[in-house]
Amino acid sequence: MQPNGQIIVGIDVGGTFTDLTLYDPQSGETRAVKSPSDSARPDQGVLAALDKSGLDLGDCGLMVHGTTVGTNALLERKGARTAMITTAGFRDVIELGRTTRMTPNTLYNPYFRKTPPLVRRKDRHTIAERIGADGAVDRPLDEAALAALAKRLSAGGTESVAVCLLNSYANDAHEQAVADHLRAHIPFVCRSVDVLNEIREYERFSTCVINAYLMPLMGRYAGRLVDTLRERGYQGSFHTMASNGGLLSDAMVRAVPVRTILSGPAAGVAAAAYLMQGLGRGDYVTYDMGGTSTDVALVVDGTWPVKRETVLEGIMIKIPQLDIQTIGAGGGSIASLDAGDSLLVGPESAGAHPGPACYGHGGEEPTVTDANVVLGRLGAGQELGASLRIDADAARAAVARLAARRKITVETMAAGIVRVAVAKMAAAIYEISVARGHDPRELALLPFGGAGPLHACAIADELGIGSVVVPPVPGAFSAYGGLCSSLFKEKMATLLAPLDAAAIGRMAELAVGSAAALTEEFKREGLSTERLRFRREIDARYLGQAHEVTVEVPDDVDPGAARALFETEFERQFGRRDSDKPVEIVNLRVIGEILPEPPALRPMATRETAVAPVAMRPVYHETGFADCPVYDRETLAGGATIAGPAIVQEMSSTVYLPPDWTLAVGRFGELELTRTQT
Amino acid sequence: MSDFITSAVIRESLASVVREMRRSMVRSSYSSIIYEGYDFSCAIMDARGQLVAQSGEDHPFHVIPVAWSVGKLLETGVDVRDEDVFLHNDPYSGGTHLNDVAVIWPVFEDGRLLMFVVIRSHWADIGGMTPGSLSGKAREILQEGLRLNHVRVPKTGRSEVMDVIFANVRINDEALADFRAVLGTCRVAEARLKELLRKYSTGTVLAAIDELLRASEERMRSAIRDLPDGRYVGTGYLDGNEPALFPLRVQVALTLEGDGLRADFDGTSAQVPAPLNAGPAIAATSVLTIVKSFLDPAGVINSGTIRAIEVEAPAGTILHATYPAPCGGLNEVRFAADGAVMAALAQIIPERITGDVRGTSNHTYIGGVDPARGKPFIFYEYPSGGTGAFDGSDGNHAVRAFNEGENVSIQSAEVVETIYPLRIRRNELRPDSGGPGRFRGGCGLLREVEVLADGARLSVLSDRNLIPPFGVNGGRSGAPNRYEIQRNGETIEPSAFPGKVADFPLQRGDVVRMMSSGGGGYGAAPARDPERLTRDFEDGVVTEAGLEPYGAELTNGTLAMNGWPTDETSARVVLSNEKAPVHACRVSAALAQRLALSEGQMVELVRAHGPAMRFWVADTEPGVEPSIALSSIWRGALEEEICVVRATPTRMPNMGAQQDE
Repeated sequence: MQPNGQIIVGIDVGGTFTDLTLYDPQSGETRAVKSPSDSARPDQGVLAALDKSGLDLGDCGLMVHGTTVGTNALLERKGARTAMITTAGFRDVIELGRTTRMTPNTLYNPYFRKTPPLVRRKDRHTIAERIGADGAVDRPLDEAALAALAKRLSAGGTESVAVCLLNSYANDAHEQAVADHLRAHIPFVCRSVDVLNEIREYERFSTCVINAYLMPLMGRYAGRLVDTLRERGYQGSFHTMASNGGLLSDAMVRAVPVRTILSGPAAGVAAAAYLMQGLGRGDYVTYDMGGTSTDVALVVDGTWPVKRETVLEGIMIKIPQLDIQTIGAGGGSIASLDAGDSLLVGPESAGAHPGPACYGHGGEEPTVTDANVVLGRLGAGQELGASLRIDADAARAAVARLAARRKITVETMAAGIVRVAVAKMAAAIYEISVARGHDPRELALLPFGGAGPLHACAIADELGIGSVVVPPVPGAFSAYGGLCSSLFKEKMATLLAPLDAAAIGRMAELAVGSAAALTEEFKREGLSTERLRFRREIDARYLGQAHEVTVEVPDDVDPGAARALFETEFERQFGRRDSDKPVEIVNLRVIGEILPEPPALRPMATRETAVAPVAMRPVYHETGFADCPVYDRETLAGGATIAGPAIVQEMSSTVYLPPDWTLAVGRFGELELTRTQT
Repeated sequence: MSDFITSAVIRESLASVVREMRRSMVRSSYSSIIYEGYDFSCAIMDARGQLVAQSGEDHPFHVIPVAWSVGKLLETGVDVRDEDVFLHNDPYSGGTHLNDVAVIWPVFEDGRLLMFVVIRSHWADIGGMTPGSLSGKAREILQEGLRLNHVRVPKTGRSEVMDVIFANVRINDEALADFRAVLGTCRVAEARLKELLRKYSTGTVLAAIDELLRASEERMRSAIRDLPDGRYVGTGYLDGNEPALFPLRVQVALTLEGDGLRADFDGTSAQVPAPLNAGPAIAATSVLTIVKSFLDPAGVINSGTIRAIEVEAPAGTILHATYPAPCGGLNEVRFAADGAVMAALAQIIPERITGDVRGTSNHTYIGGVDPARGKPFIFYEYPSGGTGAFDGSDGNHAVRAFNEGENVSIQSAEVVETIYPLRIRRNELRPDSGGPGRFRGGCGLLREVEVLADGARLSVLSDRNLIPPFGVNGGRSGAPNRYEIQRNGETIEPSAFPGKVADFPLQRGDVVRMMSSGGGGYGAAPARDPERLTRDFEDGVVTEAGLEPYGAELTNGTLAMNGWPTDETSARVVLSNEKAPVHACRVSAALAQRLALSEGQMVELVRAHGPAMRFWVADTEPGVEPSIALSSIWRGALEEEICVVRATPTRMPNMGAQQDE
């Protein structure tokens, strides 16, 4: 994908920091650079980080960039002045949805406020036209009304328009005509079928509106960034992480910015998958514990779990996304006693500001992190990330207030807080495993994020998991993920036909056309299609069902084989087959993928020297405090082993190794934690 | 480790077991009503029949009565054995309606009964006089299907009793497969519970459960303790299903004393020979749902919270039905009870109450034969309505309300058009339907379905088509639910009694207009922030026709709020000592003339604090001073001497045909 010898650059634009991961394929070395983000001009933050790295942009090959610019604009409602044009009678589809609340924990809440749609009702315009379910034009498009509307929108300062017409998946001619007309008046126009070419108007319209809302902002951001990089001599290909763990070209980011939403957690899973593949391990749970929440994902046979729709704070987004479950428990989760004196951990969180009491930024509520400080698992004065130093007295005082209310010791309360947090996270991992038919005891646990390795062994104990793999640099593991991903593009078509020879024939025809179109698109973006591979997926269901199951099918699939693949997947998800019922193909999806050349995992040098702790400190285990050695991860060479109890510290994270666990430093610098007794 | 910490850890584990049960049910069920409609609930009980854990996502009316179903089983003194389960669905002993069948699965350890796992799930059919078993025409419960009163069946599910049951339900393949899915889910939950008992020891788990229930009871009592002592009366109404002078009603008196709450439903309408009755578990369900929602939304529901509340509903009423009253529409009664409890609470915590919600399930069926496929079809939806406004916020437009589960109640128009001979003509919010107020109720839904086949039929089981969701603290009612047909440009009523439509013959080209109710408003409409009203107007949520309650008008395209509207009429409230029906009123001739009132018409007393109260004009009496005379039961509830009285356009159809009370 890039000429030999050029440096591969991973860029992760976060709310606070912009992280660079630089990989030099010649030396095999990886280097990290951290620099403050610029929330007003995120592209400036990226350029500043590149400046800091001292790289000559002319030496850089592939750049992969993960960004929360789109996600933040959506969550903070800072997108463009957007209008929507839709079929007469369907003005409120994006507001009504299926009339569900779409927000967890809202049953029994009379004060629930539904998330307002991105486009106000007054900016949702209807136009007389109607396409039937069969694609026939039931009512012609009112061109005169359209012309008048376009003028009005333009005069009113509308920057972006989402064109969302009913049944456009069956015939997009009216959407095309509306878009063509508007483009003469409005800078950004987006058709629903260009974002999601499939049946179900709510999901399609909602996704299209989000896209239109983000197009101007993301277009300008990516445009400025890429233009500046080019001016400074960068000649490689620039890509952006997508929510499904794949990569988007610059042109795709401008056309379908909605695909960058929720790409953050995907990078971590992509990195995990790459490491575990290198280690030859297929079945594991990734566990990314951050400040306010924890993301867990189950990977089976090295395959990432993908889901096709997501609800983000009450807004429907139908784009392929890694199936990651978020639990409302993180290091910043607040412990409290309710009116009945029951101990609760979360869902309230101290967040980043003021953060846990031990951050010393004015937080007074005891959090999971504070409990770990009281237990000695996080050390007094230890640095957390780049700029924080632990204030142990503040942590102790916060936990002590809670302990006093139940008249127990500070340590007992702290251990209790950690136990409840661990119980919550273990329950979530158990549930996602059994829901997909896997016994958690047969999985490995791969913790990352700042707080992950601290609780990993306790969670493994809860679940009967015997193996924990702590990756290198767990606190910045996600930034590495972009370098391990592929370029994806897909084309979709709704078939809505019984699964028979005719449908398979039609599918093959459509697939060939889609593959040709995708190849053309990749080429237009200046990419080599040498390593381009295609896959086909179908969304199918038993006739009469409302929702589909997605399966990959080979190019030469016949109806019998397609049915068998569908039924196997259906059974895996639902635990049964309905073999007497006909199967219907709803959608065909052709995915073009250009495989990456990621940084090679390099074996670590082994040394014969004994490992020596850098310090000793009292750490609370099951029954009480005991002196415990503290190691610096940097000093651990390949092959080193440590018996618990022990603490292993590094800049971005801390590992707590309980008494009945041992640690071995693996080939690639990962820490293999194993339970010695059950 | 301290007991309360172990208890918190065990609480998380029990919650996880229930969540796993939910997922397993969705994964393994055959009926779409389970795997898409989520019409089931899962619970863990202890050996004393106490509700210990549920998911927090289960329908309140489903899961809370589980405690009654198991309690009644234990009361019978029947021998509970490790190898058997019990089936239960009888509304008279803790069930909901007959379609909701509970499987009660005992969990033994070392020969000792320790817990129960319970799944209540909706069967698409349980026998009875019509397909689907729920019929608006049922006059006795035997027409609604099989009654199962703790019927013993082996855990394997194989028995002659089950053969009898499956021989007497329609769609029996699906029922059998679903039943096996329920047993499979119970078995998995049993294994997890046994693992938990072994891991922590039986004694520790049972002690933890006691601690959990104690903490929940204390949490609920502490919320009650914060409220002022007193007795507060509230009334909720149902349209009923046949002409009567007054509608059916649920009446509650909440008595607060210290940390205890007692709800007495004396004064509720006698049970009716129509499916608008509910069994004895529903009254407490309603009180708990509303009290928890308003006093402690984040709390859990278990037998600890149930203990903090004492509920009495007299037998033989619509809220404590006895044989043979049919209970298919128990939810319509439950919603009326929810409204009554909200109305009573509104007098205690007026600043925290919300406008009322839809109050019905709005079951809508269009059935017929698809000409293209030559096969029968049934299109089923149950549109949600707007939710009530509250201090600080307008209500939400057409969404599942806080007292009901997260069912997908309307389908994708594009999907509908591919599988039914129907065309969705409109799917929009219903302008002007949200109850006007300082904060406006959410708007209902306006959905138009065009029929593209000959010979189709429309059936609707809805309520609150006459009595709209009430406003609070001066806020106005939302628009009631409504069904109508458009045929050749004319509007046709599909039934003589609104909302109760049985097999109305549709013609090709007919458009069925489904209009769901708007939520009740909060606070006086003329006090609405002009910016909010302007925004509503720009958005078409309030149109020119809906400006009047706000005292606003449009002049040359500009909106102006001019103060109180002209239809606000104050009248003196007279509490009468003579025994009069509590929902009737006598109005002075002066008031009748001013508001153009006549007998049978509904009037609302709008109050600055608390819910709008509804009365029906029984007669008029001579008098020059505008006054309204009410039963003395409202003493205490109505402190205001002078109230704003508002005439409403709704009246009971064909009133006078039957005298109630």
